[in-house]
Amino acid sequence: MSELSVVGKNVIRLDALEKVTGTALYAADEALGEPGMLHGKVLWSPHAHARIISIDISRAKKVPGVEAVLTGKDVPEARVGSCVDDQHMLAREKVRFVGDAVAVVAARTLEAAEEALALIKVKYEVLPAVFDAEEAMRPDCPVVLHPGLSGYKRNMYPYLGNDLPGPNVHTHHKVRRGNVEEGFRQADLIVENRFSTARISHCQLEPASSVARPNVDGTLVISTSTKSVYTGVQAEVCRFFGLPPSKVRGVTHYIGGNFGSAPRAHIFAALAAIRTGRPVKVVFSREECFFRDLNRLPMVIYLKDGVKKDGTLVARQIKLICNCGAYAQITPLVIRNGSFGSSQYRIPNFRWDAYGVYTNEPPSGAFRGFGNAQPFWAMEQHMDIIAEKLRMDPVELRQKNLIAEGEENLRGEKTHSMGAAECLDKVAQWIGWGRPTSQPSSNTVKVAKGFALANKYTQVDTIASALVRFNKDGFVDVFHGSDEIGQGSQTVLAQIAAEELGVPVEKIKVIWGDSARVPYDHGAISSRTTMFVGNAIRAACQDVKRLICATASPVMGAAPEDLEARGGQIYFRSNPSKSMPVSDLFLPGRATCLPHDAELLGQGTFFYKGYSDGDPETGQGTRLTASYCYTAHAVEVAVDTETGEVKVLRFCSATDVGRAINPKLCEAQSEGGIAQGIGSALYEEMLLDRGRVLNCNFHDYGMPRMTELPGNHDLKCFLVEANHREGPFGAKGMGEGAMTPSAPAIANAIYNATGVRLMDLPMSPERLLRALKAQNKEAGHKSGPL
Amino acid sequence: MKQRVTLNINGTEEEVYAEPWWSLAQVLREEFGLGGTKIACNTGDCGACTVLLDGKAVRSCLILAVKAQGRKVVTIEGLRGKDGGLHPLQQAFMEHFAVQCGYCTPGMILTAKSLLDENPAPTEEEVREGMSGNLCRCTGYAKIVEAVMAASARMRGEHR
Repeated sequence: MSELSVVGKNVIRLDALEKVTGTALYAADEALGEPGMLHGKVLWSPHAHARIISIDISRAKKVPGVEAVLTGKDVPEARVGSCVDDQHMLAREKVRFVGDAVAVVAARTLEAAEEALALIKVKYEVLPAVFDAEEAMRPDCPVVLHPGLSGYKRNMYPYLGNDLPGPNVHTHHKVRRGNVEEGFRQADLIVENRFSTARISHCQLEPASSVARPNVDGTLVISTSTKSVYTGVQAEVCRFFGLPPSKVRGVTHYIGGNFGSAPRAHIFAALAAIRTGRPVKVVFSREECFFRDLNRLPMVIYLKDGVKKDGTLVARQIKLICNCGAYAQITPLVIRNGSFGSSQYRIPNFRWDAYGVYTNEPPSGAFRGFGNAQPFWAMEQHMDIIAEKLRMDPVELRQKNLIAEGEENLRGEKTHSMGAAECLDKVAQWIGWGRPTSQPSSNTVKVAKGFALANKYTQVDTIASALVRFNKDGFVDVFHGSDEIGQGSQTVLAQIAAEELGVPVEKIKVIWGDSARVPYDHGAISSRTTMFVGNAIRAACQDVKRLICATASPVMGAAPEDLEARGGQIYFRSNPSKSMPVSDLFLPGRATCLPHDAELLGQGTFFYKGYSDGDPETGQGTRLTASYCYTAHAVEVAVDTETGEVKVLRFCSATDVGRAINPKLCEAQSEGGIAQGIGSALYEEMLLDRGRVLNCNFHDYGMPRMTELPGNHDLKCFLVEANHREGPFGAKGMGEGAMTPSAPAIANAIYNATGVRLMDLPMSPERLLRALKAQNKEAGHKSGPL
Repeated sequence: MKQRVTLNINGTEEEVYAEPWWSLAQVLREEFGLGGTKIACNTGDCGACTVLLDGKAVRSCLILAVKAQGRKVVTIEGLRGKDGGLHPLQQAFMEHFAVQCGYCTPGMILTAKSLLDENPAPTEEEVREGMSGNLCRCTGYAKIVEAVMAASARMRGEHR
């Protein structure tokens, strides 16, 4: 692969010019000041659990400018959902969280819509509510959110499980390998702890926005800030309204950040547009984004590990209780896929039981890492706890248990493209593991290092298609259906096409974001675009090259297989000094060539054959994932033991990306992941009071700012390239892996600094001070908190 | 009742009738179609709506349009030079990969412009402190800081 000319280069982002000049269009920017556009606003439930007695919309309807006031009566009777059909888009009988949708108003001005919203009178009978997942999971929990659950349709995923322990449990996902009881009997040391993670919000800067336009032919054109023009927009609107795909055209523009978010403003825009026959725009306020977006699934994690004296892991048992909120949404899949992370170590006896539980809190969903960061929060702290107890070096303990290339992992998959060992070595070396810290500890400020290793899989059961058009001016149009959520995929995909065709990247135009104009793709999820869409585009480029050679064959007097299309020229393989420009194929008057203005079109599709969902009882299968991206993080922190404040002084990441198509873009993902990782570790938590989000603004929700990150000289992101044989030029996805190890790495550093082991996220000053206090109380005892 | 407001936007005298509660951000976007001014929080916490008001960076979501009467507003659309060339900050943000989703970018660039106008040779710490009011969820800020430092050097004639 030494002769690659575009892949591996730091090509400047194709969208950079539009973005620095303010001309890039986002869903929120569509229809600015457009006459005739209606504005939609939604009335949310103020109660965590209540029965709707009556809704009076008579006064709201009289507000001048109001075109529609819609309630549960106006929505389809059938429940819908991603994994469990448990929801009406507007509540019909009951509301189940503070923020459940009750009514939609569409009006000629935003002011009229807001006035009408305030005039809707809803009478509720407030019901008892449950907020704690462990309480909600009990078989005798007096609050049952969905009494009809056993009759609900449970879609798509066989691994929702059937032996559900309580009436609020919608998912029980299992993984079984070996015999954990036997494994624990063999162990010389058993470590067992309870961990928990917080509900956190994506906080992408673009607020959820959507414009729905009913077309005269009955088609609904709907643009939105949500990723995945086919699956996230078109398919979802079809599912909610019972429409065929031919009647729904999904459109996406640039997306102002995503990270797994799915706030679904488009459902309300679509509803109002369908009912009024008018175009409707819905933009959520920041506050609405907090409680309507599907936040990161909070988990309570009971982890039990058994190890031999020499550090060999022999058994791991993990039980996860997941607070999914009032509706299941995509959480069954998050829960199932969260299990993949554990396969980075060789563990002969493994047992995983994860429960998805309904509570009266805002629903959860996907968040960068898709269920993997949460178990790693526990597992990677355990590795340090075990290492200390065995007096082993924690790097060595991890290296010893790492699964090797070609080895079968604990899910039954054959390991390939395994760069974890190199990632660990790189970060350990940069941070100076085992060497003094960059500054000494004082009486009150303790400085220490810590690290963690994690991974993120890419989903296997998706499909990508692409079209490539070779134009007569030498420019190439690439059509695909994934979205630009900020990760730079358009640039990476252009580089892949340029490399395959041998043309300069400046000649590639990438077209995306419209289900009526680009071929199907599963979307910008699961760190999959580079691999899946990249492969589809590569195949389409190969297809168009075959077509070019076949078309040129009679003109050049050679068999197609004796010709090669590269860089806009067609060469004789036997004599590469002789060639013809591809553009000559378009010359008029050449009877054997293309008619003037004809097109050279290639197509390509990529998907995996022979993958499996895994056995529902054991979670075992031979091909459950497409690839794994490994990431190691090493940090140096300063802990102020008087204030509980933690300052991250230095941060190093190493990520196995398979091959970096654009190293700077990979580095940029790593840096962004680090910032979110620090946020999730130290600051971020949606604070809830009986189901109501208290800090739903950027003032009170602690997203990291520039001053909370290490300076540029104290930050290093390495890229490791364990080529993946199925990836385009060896590349695999890496966007989500970028934050999976941050929180346990920081927790391990805090422990090394203070001797305090924090098991609940975030590691706020309050929690840390409380733990330090408890430690002081125990000062007489020799052992630490474990 | 709507009030008549005259203001200079990106060098052009403009007139608009605005409700007294409309923010400058809202008016720039909805009345003038200047979508480069982003609204992300609408509470002044993130800086995405930053514009230059009489040369100083302000949060246009916190300023009522009627309060901008008679003042000079520069938005991201007005930052390019008279020859249409990119401002060194725009150039640096492109070259240093300081852009990801792009939603914070206009506010970042205009805040940096205001910062460099006051302090043409800031240290990295001064950049971080001076721009800490602007949130970005994608980049982790490293490349934004790098771009501002590079633009500062370029504007001072130290090409790099």
